[in-house]
Amino acid sequence: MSGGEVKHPGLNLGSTDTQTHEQAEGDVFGFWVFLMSDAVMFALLFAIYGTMVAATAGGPSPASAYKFGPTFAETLVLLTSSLTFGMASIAVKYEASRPVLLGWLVVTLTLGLAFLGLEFHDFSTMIDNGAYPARSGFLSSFFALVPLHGLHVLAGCIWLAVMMVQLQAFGLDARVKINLLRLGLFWHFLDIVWIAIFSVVYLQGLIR
Amino acid sequence: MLGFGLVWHVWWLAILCLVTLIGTVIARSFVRDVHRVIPATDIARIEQRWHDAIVQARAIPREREMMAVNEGLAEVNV
Repeated sequence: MSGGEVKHPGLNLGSTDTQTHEQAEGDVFGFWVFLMSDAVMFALLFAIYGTMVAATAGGPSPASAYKFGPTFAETLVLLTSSLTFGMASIAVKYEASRPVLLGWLVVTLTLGLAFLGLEFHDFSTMIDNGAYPARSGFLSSFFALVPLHGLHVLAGCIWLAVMMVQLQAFGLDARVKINLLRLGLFWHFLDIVWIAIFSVVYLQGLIR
Repeated sequence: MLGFGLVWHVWWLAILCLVTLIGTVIARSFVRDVHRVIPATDIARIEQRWHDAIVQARAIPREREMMAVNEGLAEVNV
């Protein structure tokens, strides 16, 4: 950290040249714009879910379809993965050794894949119990919203794997650092969407 | 092509296109040297060739604009 220089908050690039910092501001802002467009998409699906939650068509209701245990496990896993990605960001900022950074990224990826495994198991259980997407409007809107989040997590996991390869190929150069910043934003964004999902969808469904 | 496969349920095409799409984006991200420097002398040469062509081109009237003699310069009667 060079003294006296005012840097944009959240740009954890460690000690890098000024040009990279300036470029990072634009790149990160552009990524925020994309994230907000993604948020619009999720918001629409949330709204649709809200209007369709009562449309059970004689089929499974939210309370009968949702299970509290797996949802809680998924939440713990995903929130922890956000924590471990934060540790990776700190490793970049304070220029920790390569194995440390790689280790945190590996842990994050493992937790992300664990989340996907839990969710997949969850969905297949629901479908086996007759709560399949085409059963009712409620289930259609559920399966539109939650698997979309799951697909985003899958994309994030692929991105994580690619970043780990790039880290080995190029080291921590400016491009890799800026891309890690954007991946961080993406990962934390998915965490926030999941918090909204388990609050609006699962908790609201299970307390009735 | 991905859209075509999705619309007409040609699943093998859809999956192939999707995988190629994602693979191309990832592969492209590994290419670091994407900048090219064009020397000023090259630009000057190309620009001069263009200016020479304009000077030597024949201005043709509207009646002849569809003929091969039209090199791109229109006759303007101010």
